[in-house]
Amino acid sequence: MTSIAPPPYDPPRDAPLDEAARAALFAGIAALTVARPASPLDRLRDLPTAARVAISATLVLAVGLAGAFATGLRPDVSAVAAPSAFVALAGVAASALALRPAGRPLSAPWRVGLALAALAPLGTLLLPPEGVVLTEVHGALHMACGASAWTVAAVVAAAFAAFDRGAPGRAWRALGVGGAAGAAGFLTATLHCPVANLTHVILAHTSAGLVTAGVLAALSHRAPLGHSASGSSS
Amino acid sequence: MDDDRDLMRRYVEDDDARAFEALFARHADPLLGVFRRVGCDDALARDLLQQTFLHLHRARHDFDLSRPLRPWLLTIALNVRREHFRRRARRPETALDPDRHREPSVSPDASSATDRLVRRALDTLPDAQREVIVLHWFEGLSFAEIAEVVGATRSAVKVRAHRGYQQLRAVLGPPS
Repeated sequence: MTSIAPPPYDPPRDAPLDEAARAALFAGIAALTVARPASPLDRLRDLPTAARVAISATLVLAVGLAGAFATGLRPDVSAVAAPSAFVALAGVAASALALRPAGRPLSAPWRVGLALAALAPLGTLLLPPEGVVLTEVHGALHMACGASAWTVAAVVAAAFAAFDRGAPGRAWRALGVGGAAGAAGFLTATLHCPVANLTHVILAHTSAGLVTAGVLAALSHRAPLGHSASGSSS
Repeated sequence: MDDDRDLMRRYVEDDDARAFEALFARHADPLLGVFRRVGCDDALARDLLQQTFLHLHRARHDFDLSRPLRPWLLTIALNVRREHFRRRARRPETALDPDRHREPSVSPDASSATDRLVRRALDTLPDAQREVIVLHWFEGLSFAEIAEVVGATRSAVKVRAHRGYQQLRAVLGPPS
C-alpha cells in the first residue's frame, strides 16, 4: 500500500467554547450526574464487580428455579441434578462475563468461564439422558416448554439491563447476558420437563439462550463498541 | 497540570466532582470538533457531547485506570453519535425536520475559505472513512488506537484512511 498521509493542508481548528457556554454545558451534565443524589439503580451499578456478579448470579438461579416451581417440578427431578448443577455453574460464569469491566484483557480464568458458558448446554446433552425418553414429540410440547424457557430467559435478560454500565465493549458482555438468560431458561425447562428427546431439548430448552446470545451479540455488533484487550499507546 | 489518569482516579475512586469538571474542560472542545467533523451541526454536537459525558459517568467504574482516557472517550462519543443517527433514521421523516436540511458540518467558526473547503471535502467521504480521517488527521490518533475506537482491525482502518485521503486529495487538489 502507498503511504497513508493527509493532503497538504492544515486541518481546520475550531474556536474554543467560551467560558459561559462551557459552564452551561457542564451544568446540564452535572445536574444529571455528580450533582444528583444517586438512585438505587446508580448504587447497584456502582457496586464492585464481584458484588454485582454475586447478585446477578443469584438472580439467574433464583429466576430459573422460580420458573421451575411455577410450572411444576418433574417427578424425577433428582435425575437431572447433575446437568442442572452444571448449567447453574455456567449461568454464574455467564453472569460474570456479562458484568466484567470492559476494556480489560481477557485473562485465563475468564476464558475458561466463557468456554464453560458456551459449552454447558452442549455438555448436558452428552450426559446419558434420563427421564421419559420419547421418540415422537409434537409441536405443542415444544411450545409449552419453549414458552416457559423463553419467558424466564427474557426476564433475566431484561434484569441485566439494570446492571449494565453501558461501557464500550458490550459485544462480549452481550454473549454473557445471553448465556445467563439461557441458563436460567434451561434450568426452568429441565427441572420441569421430563422429556429427554434431543430435538425437544434443543428446540424448547436450549433455544432461548442461543437465540438471546446471538441477537444481543448481533445488536452490539451493529454499534461497534471496540476497545479490545490489546494495548494501546497513549 | 493533572493528567487524565489522575483526574479519572480522583473522579472514580474519590467521587471528586471537580475532577469530573476538569475532565470535561479538557475534552469538551476536542469532542465538539470531532462531532462537527463527522456530520453534526453545532446544536447536535453540544447535545451529543452532553450524552457522551453522561455515558462516561455511568461507565466510569469500568474504565481501566492504567490506560489512556482519550480513545475510550472517543469510542463512547462515536457510539453515541451512531446511535443518534440510527434512531433518527428509524424516525419517520417529516418535510420540515430542520435537522435533516441543515448544512452538516461547516461550523460558523471556520476561520477561512480553505478551512471551509476542507470541511466540505470531508463531508463528501463515506461515514466510515470520515471517522477514520477525523481521528487520524485531526485528532492525531495512531491506527492502532483508531482500530480500538471504531471497533475494526488495524488493516481495515488503514484501508479506510488510504481511500479517504485519496478522495480528499482528488476533491481538494493542490493548495493554491
